[in-house]
Amino acid sequence: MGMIIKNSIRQLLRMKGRAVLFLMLLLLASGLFSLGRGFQIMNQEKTEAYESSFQTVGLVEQKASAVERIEVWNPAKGEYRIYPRNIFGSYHSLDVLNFEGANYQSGPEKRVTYGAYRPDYEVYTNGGNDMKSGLRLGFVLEVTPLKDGVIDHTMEVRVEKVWKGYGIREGDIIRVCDYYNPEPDTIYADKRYVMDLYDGYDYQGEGGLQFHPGGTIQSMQTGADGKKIPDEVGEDYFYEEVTADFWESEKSRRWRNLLKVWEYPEHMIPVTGTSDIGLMIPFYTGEAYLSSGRDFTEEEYEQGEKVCLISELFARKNGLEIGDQVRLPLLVADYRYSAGRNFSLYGSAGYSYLNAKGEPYEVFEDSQYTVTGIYGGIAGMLEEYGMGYQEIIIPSRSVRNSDEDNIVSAGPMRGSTTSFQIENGTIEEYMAEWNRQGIDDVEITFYDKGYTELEANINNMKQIARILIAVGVIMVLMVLGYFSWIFILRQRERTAIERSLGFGKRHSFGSLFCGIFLLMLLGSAVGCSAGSCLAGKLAGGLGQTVYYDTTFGNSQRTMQAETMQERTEEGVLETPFLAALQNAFLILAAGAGISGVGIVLNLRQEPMQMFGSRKE
Amino acid sequence: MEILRAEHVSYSYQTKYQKVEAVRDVSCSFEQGGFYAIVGESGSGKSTFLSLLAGLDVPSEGTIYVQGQSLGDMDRDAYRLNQASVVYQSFHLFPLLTAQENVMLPMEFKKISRKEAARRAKQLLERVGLEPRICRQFPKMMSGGEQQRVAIARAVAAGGEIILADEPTGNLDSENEKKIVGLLKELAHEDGYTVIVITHNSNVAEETDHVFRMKDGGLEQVR
Repeated sequence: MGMIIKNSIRQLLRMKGRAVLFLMLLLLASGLFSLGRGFQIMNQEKTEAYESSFQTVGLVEQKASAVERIEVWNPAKGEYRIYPRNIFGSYHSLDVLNFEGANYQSGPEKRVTYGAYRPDYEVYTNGGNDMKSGLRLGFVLEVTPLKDGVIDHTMEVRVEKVWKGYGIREGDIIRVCDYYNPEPDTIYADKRYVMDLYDGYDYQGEGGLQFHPGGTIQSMQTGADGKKIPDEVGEDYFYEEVTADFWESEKSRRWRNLLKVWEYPEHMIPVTGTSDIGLMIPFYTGEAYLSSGRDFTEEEYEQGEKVCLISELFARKNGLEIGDQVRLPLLVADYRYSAGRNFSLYGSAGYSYLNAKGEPYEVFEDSQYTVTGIYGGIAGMLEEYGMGYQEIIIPSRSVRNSDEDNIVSAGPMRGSTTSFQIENGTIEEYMAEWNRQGIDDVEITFYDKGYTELEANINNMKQIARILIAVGVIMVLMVLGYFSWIFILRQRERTAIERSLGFGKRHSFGSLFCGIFLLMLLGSAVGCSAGSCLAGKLAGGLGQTVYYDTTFGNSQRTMQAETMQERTEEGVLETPFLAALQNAFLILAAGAGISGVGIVLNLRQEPMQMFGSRKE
Repeated sequence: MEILRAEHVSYSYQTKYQKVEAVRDVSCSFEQGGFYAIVGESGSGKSTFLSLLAGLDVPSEGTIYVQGQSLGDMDRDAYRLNQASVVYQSFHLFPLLTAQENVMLPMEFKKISRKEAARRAKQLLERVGLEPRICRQFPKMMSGGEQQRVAIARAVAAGGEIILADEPTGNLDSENEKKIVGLLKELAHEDGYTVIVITHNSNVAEETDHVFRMKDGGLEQVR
């Protein structure tokens, strides 16, 4: 066989010009093909990397049907303070998002913030001392007016007894006005009243600080339908006359209950139920991130396992580690705001912990949760789209009991509480289907971390890759076809001579095939290597300009972007070698096929037929 | 000694329009060291019969025996490599090999070392009357007579006992014709080759020991 190969090469090299031309053209064609394939493979890698690194989430917000103008008279300043208040006809349920054609990868969900009462845990800074030192602004006081009067203007009262609150002492004279009450009562100087007051930040006039009602003596309880349950004491109830037997009478029941639950906010831990932490904006943006442990598994989400993620601070303050148990007695449920909006470094949500009957809420579910992960990041900054202070995250399905008697607040879908994830690059399709639903008062805002922009770049690259591959394939086939004709079909006489000399078909096949195969091997190997390396360099260069997500500029996000870039660059280094091998193999296979067919065609004829002399 | 025999050999093939019976019931035998001519008009089936004798094709009917063994039972490629060589009117040299390489090829294929093959090729080329300078020339650089001598040298190089020549002088002038015929005669009579020449040239036929005539596929011995 060695002689056959040598002879084959010898004869091929005697056609130097054609052999060199074949080699050069095959180099070029292989290079183009390989360049295109390199782009294609790297685009595929990038797309896969992006798919796992990028998520497209939609934040859903029901828009107000109208905005009401609220005017509140501030007697201290002698002016009206104007508030806008959104009016909603009714709250859309999450069902509006479950329409045909909506292919969610996660969600949609409207997250509920629960309040878990744990007096034994240290939640707020300094064990609540910040609140005690004046950051909490509520008071339960017994006061006596200095003069009779309707409390629609600033009235001075003397503090007779401080039931709750810090910074006010008995005997102090404070200023009070019932701003929000359109029909305020008259209070009398010869009577004593118990009042639930708040420090009126905004009502400082010439006379100094004023207090106003609006505290938690009134229930905020809401039904499962999202409507507030009327309080049995009516609206704008914030004080009561204290008679001699008041504290022993049924009349004081609500006030006694208020004193019982007064400390609740200092020990209330925000707990958020979710079906995917990626739907929570702080985790999506990287503002919050798992620093140890793990996210919940799909099964844990699905089965509603009793597992939780806690913050680094909460873990540190309370000596908790991965695998520890955290008991979460869920007391109230907030269907309106995110924990980020209500639970801050300075204190928890200003919920009333009394129901519409004036009774304290009772824990509706009390379970032990196992800590699977600890997250870090910024929290408790009173940002609606941020994390709540010491927020604990649990699978939404882990809350099994009904919370319908413990809802302290309800509201429409908000971007901070309602979200879903769809496949990257399908925003337009989704929105086309959504717009067909004809729901005008629900706004969906998408965040894809810049995927759409990257996708456009990738699509351009894909197009270039397709063109290069097409040109490369056509050129490879043309070169292989043309030169197979020259080196094989036009060598029929040579085959005939060899056959007439006694060469077997196998030997004649080898005689023609070896030379051209070696040229193909050389041309495709060098061309494909060059093309793939070039693709790697070009794609690496192009990739660097588009990796960084400009949507969110926090440090964690940048860190992720850098990680992704490193990973892709590693891929760029590995890809050319493998791609070149694959491409060269493909071209060799095509070349072997084409030339093999040509040789077989030659060999199908008997030598005399090839010489054309049979008819003699 | 009989070396080659045809018994009731017929050969037909199908063209697009008709079935052609190129060789019809031919029987004949060839002795070792004999110089034979098969003459006949164009289209009489001479070359087809030669290709059957060379094992380049298979008879439709009848049998060809080589030293008493049916060619149909033999490896026809091995037969051509070891026993029968063919010389063509159009020489059919490898155009990309030199004269020497053309002659060396069958020897190398038979696993004779390149060095030995080169030595023998030189000798053979000299034997067929070619100057040493021809050794390194490619066929297109040679005259027709020179090419035919190279072809004969190549046939001899294979080391067989039978040389089948299809119009070996058909493309040659009279001077070269004489030389080639003389060479073939010498190979038959001095070296013991059985040389069978297809020709329609009476001058060539006259030089041979035996003459067969083919007509319409049939064969008769004239001399």
